[in-house]
Amino acid sequence: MEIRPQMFQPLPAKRQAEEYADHPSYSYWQDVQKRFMKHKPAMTGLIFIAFLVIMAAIGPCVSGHTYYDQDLSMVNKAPNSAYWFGTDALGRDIFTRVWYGARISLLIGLATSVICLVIGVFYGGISGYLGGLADEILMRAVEVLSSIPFLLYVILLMVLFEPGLKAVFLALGLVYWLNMARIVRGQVLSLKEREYILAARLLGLSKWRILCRHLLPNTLGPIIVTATLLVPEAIFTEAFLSFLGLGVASPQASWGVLVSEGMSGLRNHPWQLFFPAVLISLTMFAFNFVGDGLRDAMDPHLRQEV
Amino acid sequence: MLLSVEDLKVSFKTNLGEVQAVQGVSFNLEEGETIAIVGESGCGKSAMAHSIMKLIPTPPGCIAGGQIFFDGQDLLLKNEKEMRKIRGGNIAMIFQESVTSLNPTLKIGSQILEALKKRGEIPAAEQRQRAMEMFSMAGLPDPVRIFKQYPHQLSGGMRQRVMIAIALAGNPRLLIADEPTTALDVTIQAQIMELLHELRHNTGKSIILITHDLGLAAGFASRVMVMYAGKIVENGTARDIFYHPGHPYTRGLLAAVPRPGQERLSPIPGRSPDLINPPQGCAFWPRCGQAMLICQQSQPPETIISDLHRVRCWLAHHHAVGSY
Amino acid sequence: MRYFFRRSLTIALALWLVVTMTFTIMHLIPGGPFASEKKLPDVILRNLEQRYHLNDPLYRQYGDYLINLMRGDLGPSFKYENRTVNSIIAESFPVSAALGSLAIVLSLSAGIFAGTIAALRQNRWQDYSIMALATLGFSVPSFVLAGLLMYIFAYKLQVLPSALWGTWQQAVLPTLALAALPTAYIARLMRSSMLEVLQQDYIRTARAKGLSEMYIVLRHALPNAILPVVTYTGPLIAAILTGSFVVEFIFAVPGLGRWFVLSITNRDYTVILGVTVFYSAFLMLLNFIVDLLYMALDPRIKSLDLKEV
Repeated sequence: MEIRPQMFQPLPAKRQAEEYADHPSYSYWQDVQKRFMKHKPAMTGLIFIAFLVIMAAIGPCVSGHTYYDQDLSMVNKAPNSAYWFGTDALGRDIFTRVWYGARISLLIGLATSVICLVIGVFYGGISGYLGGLADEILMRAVEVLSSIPFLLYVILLMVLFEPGLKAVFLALGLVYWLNMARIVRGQVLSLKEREYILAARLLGLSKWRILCRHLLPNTLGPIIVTATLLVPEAIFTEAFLSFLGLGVASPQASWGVLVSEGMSGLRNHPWQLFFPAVLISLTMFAFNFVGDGLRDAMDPHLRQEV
Repeated sequence: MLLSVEDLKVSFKTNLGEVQAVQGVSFNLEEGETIAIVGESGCGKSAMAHSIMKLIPTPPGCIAGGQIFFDGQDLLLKNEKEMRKIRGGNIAMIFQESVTSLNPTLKIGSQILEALKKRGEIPAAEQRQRAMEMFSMAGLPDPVRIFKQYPHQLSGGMRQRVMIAIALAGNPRLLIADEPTTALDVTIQAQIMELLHELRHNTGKSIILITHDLGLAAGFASRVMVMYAGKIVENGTARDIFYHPGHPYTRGLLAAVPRPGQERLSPIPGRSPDLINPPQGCAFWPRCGQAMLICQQSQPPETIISDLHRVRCWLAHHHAVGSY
Repeated sequence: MRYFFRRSLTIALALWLVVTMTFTIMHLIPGGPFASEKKLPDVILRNLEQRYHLNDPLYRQYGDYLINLMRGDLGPSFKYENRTVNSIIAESFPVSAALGSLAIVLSLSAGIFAGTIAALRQNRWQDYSIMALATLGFSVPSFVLAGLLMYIFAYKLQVLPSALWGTWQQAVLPTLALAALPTAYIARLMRSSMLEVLQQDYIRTARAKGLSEMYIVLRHALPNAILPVVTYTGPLIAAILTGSFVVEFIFAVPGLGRWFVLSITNRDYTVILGVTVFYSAFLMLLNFIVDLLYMALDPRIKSLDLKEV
């Protein structure tokens, strides 16, 4: 480039101002969404869950069989054109039973998550907000209760209740909220330190208002992650219980029941174990991935500022 | 010539793009000389210093080009094994944050001994004694006790002295001090700088001081280099820089130092430049009070003002009016 | 130390809570322990109730139970005439302990090793494959894995036995099934912990001293990265314990887990109660020991503790 004296004229000031045009800034949730979508395993998990939901809804309807009809002439048949996943020891269609089980598992996973969310948020939120002695006492209680392995308690409760779907909800809900409460309380405590609470107080908002409008929305990140990760844990626990004969009872077809039934036929009819086993594993995979993806997407430390 | 850096380019890959941290930096260092590299945070001075010892983590970072001649040999051509011999023994580094730079779960004693052990030069029996010597050289009051303590039990100033002792342990010819006093309060700062002065006089080692404090730099080094946005914009002797600053940025830095009796602070306006998409012309033009049209369009060449004083600015060009 | 005292108090309280809750639950079960039996003649029923003090007021039964507990007596089994809970535990716990220990050793060593490798070779094929395996171990439930292992190795390939306990071959499948989940978890934990440690400044200082990568990993990185794994040891043992229920059941290993499952199916209340109490006490004690271990390992916490409380 040729250098000419005219180029040495002073630069107009407004050009300098233009240089500092602001970059578009994303809102927190948009940022989270972008980052989540970049996370391949999480997106795969999400797609699978969508597939699962669809199949759970229509699966039992498309096969032409019900989950409880027994056809004793067709016991233990390998997968074929009439029975896509084969039949079990009582001649029931495994395809239908598997997708029926999907309904149950999804239901249990979501319901448990929601119950624990509600209990945990209130208990933890209140404990954290009150602080001081009340907080100490409430948290000690949680600590003491947590020193007992959850599964033991769920098992005991299931022995107490009649086996069945509602009992499983109840048992899981009564036990798994502890962790959630701890997390919520931790979030609330960290928020209490923050300046805008002070600002809100200065504006004269009531304590309840402060709780709902300011504290809760910002604790959402880790809470959502915890709630998401509760789903596979609940599904696992239900399957575990049903496997031990404590959860959902036959003829209802939860995955745990199916796996348990599949075990007895393992040697000669492996497909009876295979299908529910694969589905339960994939479902847990999917939810774990989604939980991971959410956790990574919401971690404020990773949030890049330009 | 102990060290000769030529056209060094270093970049880092991040989520938002590739950050051009060092864009073609060249300088020399003679045996026994002390120089200072001055600049604000993010100007690339630390990246450059770390590159000399090839301590840049290479997944995100990458040394994209240039040569670093130490004792005549290009360090960038050396493999990791060869670099390990050089690190500690020929070139050593003192880091900024002594809290995090020392392993919190190991005793101080082990941390200095391991620097000596791996050398293999000093027999085991003498290692401890040599470590004690290093501690004394670094001005630590009770070496025997410090040996058994953990980093969190020492004060900031003492920890920094420990870092200096560890750096000296391998008897390096070049010492790089990366903002050694930034994390310390002013009185301790003075003590550490005093220590570095002594070391320079007593041992004749070459020292590169990295700092953002122009005053500190001018008081310590014989030559000062001012870095901005990954480039050296001005270099010269301490006198040159202080009394005849050539680059508007240097002048801005000098003016920004608070003085007693000053009524208003005069910071440099504007923000740090975007190193992912560096501007086309001189990186400083958006903030420069004397920017010209050409500044926005192309990068200024290095102009020689005097024997050791160079500036990278269009204002030094013969077409520019005034200033010189 | 005052910490000791406070902890012991918490444990005693928790234990008491466990006993009370379990006791309450057991006695809330409709029909009592003999309800599921085929119709027993009234006389025999009354005899049994007498013998087991089931007609005493509840608080009396509770008190008796607590007193016996203090003496270490967990009572007789309801279903097996000549056996006491203590004897059942004494006989089967060693088996569970053996299996559990194998699983713990396996999961710790494999998990730490895998996690470290994955961190050192971040984003390369070793990392991806290890993490993929880990997610698998995480998501496939232990009983499903047990079934699959049994199918592949015992039935199809016929290389390992499918049940019982005693020879080392019989120990392989149960240990694998039991260790899968903890290994996966530890590998992930170790990897992220190691990655974090490797970013630390003191690692950079160590490199600046010219130390070899292997030395740095072993001497600086690993000891610091391992701390979260040590914290995990408590939940690890709990996970192994609950995992043992199903694994022992499927592989017919005569351990305490299998007894527990059987006692649930049989509604053998004293055994259920006794084993629950035993498990809880065991876990609490172990958690306590782990906490002490953690304090001993991290010098920062050690010096804090002396000034603490």
